Amino acid sequence: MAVALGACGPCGFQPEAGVKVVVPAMPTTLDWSFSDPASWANYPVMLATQKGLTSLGADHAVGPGLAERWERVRDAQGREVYTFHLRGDVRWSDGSALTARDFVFGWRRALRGRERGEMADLEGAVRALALQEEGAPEADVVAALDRVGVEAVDARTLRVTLARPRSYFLSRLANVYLFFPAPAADLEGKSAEAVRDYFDRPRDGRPLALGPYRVEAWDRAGERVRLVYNPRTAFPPPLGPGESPAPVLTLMKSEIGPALYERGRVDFVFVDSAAALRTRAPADLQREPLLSTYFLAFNTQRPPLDKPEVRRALAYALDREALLAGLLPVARVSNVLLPAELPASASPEEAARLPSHDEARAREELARAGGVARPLRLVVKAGDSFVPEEALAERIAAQLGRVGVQVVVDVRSDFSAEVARRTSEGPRAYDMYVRRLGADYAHPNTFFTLFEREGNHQTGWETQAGGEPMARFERLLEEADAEADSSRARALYVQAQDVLVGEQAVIAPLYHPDRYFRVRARLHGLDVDPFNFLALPALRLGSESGAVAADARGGR
Amino acid sequence: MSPVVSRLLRQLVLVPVVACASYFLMAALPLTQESDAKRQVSAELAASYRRDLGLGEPWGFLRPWEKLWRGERLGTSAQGVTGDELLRKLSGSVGVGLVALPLALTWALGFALLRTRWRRGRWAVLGDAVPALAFGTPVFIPALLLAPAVVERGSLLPELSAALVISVWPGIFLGTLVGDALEAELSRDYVRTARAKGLGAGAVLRRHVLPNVWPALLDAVTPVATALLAGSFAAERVFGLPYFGQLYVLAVLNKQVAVVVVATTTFAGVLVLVSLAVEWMRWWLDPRSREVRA
Amino acid sequence: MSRAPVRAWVGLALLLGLGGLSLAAGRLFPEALAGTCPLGMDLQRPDRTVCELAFGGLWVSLAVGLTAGALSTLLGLGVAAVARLLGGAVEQAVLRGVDAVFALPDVLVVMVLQLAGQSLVDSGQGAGLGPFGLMVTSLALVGWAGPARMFRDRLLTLESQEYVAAARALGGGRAHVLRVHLWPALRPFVLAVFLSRLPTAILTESTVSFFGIARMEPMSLGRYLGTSYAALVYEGGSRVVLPAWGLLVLLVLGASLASQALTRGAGQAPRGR
Repeated sequence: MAVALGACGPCGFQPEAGVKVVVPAMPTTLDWSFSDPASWANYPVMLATQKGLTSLGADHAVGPGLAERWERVRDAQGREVYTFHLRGDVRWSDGSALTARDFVFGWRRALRGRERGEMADLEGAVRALALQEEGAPEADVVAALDRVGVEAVDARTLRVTLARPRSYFLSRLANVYLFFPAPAADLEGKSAEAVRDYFDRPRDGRPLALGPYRVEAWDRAGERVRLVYNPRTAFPPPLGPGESPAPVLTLMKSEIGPALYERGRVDFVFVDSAAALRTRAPADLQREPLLSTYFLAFNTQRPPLDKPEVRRALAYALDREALLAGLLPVARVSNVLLPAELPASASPEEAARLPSHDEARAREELARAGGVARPLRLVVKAGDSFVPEEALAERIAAQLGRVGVQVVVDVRSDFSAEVARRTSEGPRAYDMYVRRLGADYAHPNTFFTLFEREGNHQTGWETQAGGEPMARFERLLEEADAEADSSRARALYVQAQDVLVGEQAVIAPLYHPDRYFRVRARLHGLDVDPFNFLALPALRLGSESGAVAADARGGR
Repeated sequence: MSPVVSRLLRQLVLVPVVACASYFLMAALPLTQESDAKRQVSAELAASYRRDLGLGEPWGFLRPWEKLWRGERLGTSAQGVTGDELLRKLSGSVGVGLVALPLALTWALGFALLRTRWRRGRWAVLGDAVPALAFGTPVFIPALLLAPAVVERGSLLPELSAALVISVWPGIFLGTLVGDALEAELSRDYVRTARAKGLGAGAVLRRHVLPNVWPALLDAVTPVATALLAGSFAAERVFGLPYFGQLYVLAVLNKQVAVVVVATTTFAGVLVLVSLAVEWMRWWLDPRSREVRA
Repeated sequence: MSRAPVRAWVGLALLLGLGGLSLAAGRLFPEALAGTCPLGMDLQRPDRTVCELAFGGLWVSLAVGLTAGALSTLLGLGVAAVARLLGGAVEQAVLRGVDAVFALPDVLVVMVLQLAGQSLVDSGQGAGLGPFGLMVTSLALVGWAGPARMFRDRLLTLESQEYVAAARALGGGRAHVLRVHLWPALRPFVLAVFLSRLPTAILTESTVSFFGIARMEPMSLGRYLGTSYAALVYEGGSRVVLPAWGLLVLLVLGASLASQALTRGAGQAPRGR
């Protein structure tokens, strides 16, 4: 055994010193332009290593990022033209300057990537996307991409044209990493395979970074990402007296994260398991209310759920307080889609118009609509999550059972595939599903896009009443997104919410989830933001004692 | 053909058999189909499957190996693997296995000896209870009990703990086999003769009985090595070890079919190496094996 | 050995007793387990008691193990019989195939088969297999090789006995000898092999659930243990995990007691994995 040990000395896996952060999921890719549909897991790394044109303040207000200022004008065709002036002192981690060309290059790649639909607001993007869907010849696609509304006026000026005005566009630029620039000098002229290798196998200081960290190693099977400090960043963490940046940061997955935190071997851990939250809360447990909504969705194409009255009756049957009682330390139950923290959320009176718990009314409406004769299948995502999904689903089944609707809970590890699966007759195979919708930026639009015609809602509600409600919903959103006056925009968003949640009852919102985590006092600025992103860019090391004062989490 | 050579060939043929079986199983899955309704993954992913598996090409089943040989990545970026990464991860798992094997042999001999002693006393029930406890315990339970104390401490502690945890059940299993052989040998006449001639119990065991028990032990080493490597899948996950087992489980979870094919075949290759080593040991230790057998 | 049958009975009683109690409690009187459970509520599913999930799932695990064990024993028996009946090159080829299946660990092959099976079921080509059917099929497909090997070796031993030689000499065909002379001698061994597959099947199901690959419905003891293991690292989690673990050990004890006692009667120990 001694021989085996001696021989394997250097090959043994040695965890490194440095700040260790346990995350629930590893990135699926480091290529922020090409991206991946399961993108939420990539955000912590992308936001720590890259930067957008704008940034969001603590009050969700848009501020400068890579761009120090910008102008916005409407042109003669009603298009919206932004001119961004880039900061002059921003360098990639190899010392080369950031140029407007990096944006043009990155955005064109994003328009060919796996989340290209997110770029559809750009002038000409719809055409470029459509050509790719049709499988048009490469030359046509390239020509269409050249006409998309992003151009480098000079090295430090970027002009962006949107097909229509979009009030959320500047917020989007801050967080949605598809809009981050890509190092054109490194990537141009590389083959597809070489580009993939550039991002898949970090080495020799690549991929380049703009943010305070750079990815140095990515061990997939080890489920670890090693970040090192990027001294050339123009966005260093705000250092107070006695504070220093963290030189090495390891993101890792572990089955036993909370136990490792207890023993002092990791410095940050999400506390997601209901098992952990239901026992005695540790003193350093922190809670972050998320801009997020957990909801029950109905398959509007399968009888009896094809009738809005039936769906509404089910929404009335749910006692949201009872659903969540005892599951979590705090629960912000809700019957509205937009959380109250959003500037455009519904007022209490407006919220009261939407279905909330009223069992008598549920029975009455069900009886009038002819009842529900067959058992309904409720599809739930399997696995440990910070939303106690299985427990909630079982309670939903029990509550609907009380109004005479039989529900079968189906826990699936292939949740999204199952929700999208169609039967041979045409409609999708599920009856109801539960899922969480999280904001990517602080704007009502981020909550509605899921339910638009092209969104991934899988409810089939675009077919309801010949498509009229969906057309009305999209028109309201269209108007609201283009509306510069915030109070008029708010009224329009509230109307759209009424169509979706009230009139059509496509979904029944249940609550706004929170995230719980524990972090060592000596780590300042390490935080979870309302978008459920682990916020690493402001991280700095300090002493244990000065922690509370230096911690910039005031006002929460 | 000499019997030794035919025995070796019999072992080696396992690798192409597993390679073909896993390849054609994966290639037959609806994951790679053109039709959206049948396939459950995105078009890009399906295209990468087709590329990696060389579907629809002559000699397509060599494609994953060709890619590995050229140093290209198999699978999509999140769970892809290159040849050198695969070898590095495999060496980690094999290292853990190499530590676990002697541990398992130690448990085996220890348990076998204890059991022959218990046999006659009031502890006889332990002879059944201990194997049931060892077998009835999924590897992840002792691993979880031990993990908080060792994970992220380095100095090979997680590796050694993983080896310890995975060696228990195969060790006890081996112990019952060896125990049976030991008992059979101990009841033979030559033992009684040796004892009657005045040899001590220890000497009889060492000089006469154990050489006769070796073949039984060797017979069981291959299944034990299989059990050790299989156990390391769970142990690696709990102890956070970035080795072959983790690679394999993630490849299956993420439907990285080309990686599954390559990893399964590699696994079979390791097992073949183990059985070749066992054949060699047998040839060396057991004179009977050198005789021509029918 | 005079003790052997007693141990076999103890083992069988343990298995059937636990299984019967669990079925009765889980299916017929669910409120008994839900109402009075000294172990309290489960941590992940706060509306269900630990007893309901662990003890109520025991019969599901037992059913998975019994069905998969029976299928793989039958499959193994068939392969062994065919190999012995045909003999020669066919037998050698079959044996190589058996070796290939037997060499890979159960957990690994079940993972691959689950991946394959789930993607077939999702695309509507699952031949009507539910999660239970899928799990039983994949367990049976990995489990037949060991029994096939053991039955083939056993048949070889039995065939070398004098009464078989005598039957052959009297003109009995291979099939006739197998049916009339070998089968009665093989029967207790078949039962022992079948029982020895039971714990392997249950444990494999649990381990595969631990990896998050299987989706077994209704909740089985194996899956319960495999999905609530994380509770062990939290305060009060051991009351969730330890009882389920204990039940699993009891199942294994029952199966191995019965199996060993029967094999001792039949004269050869089957291998566990």
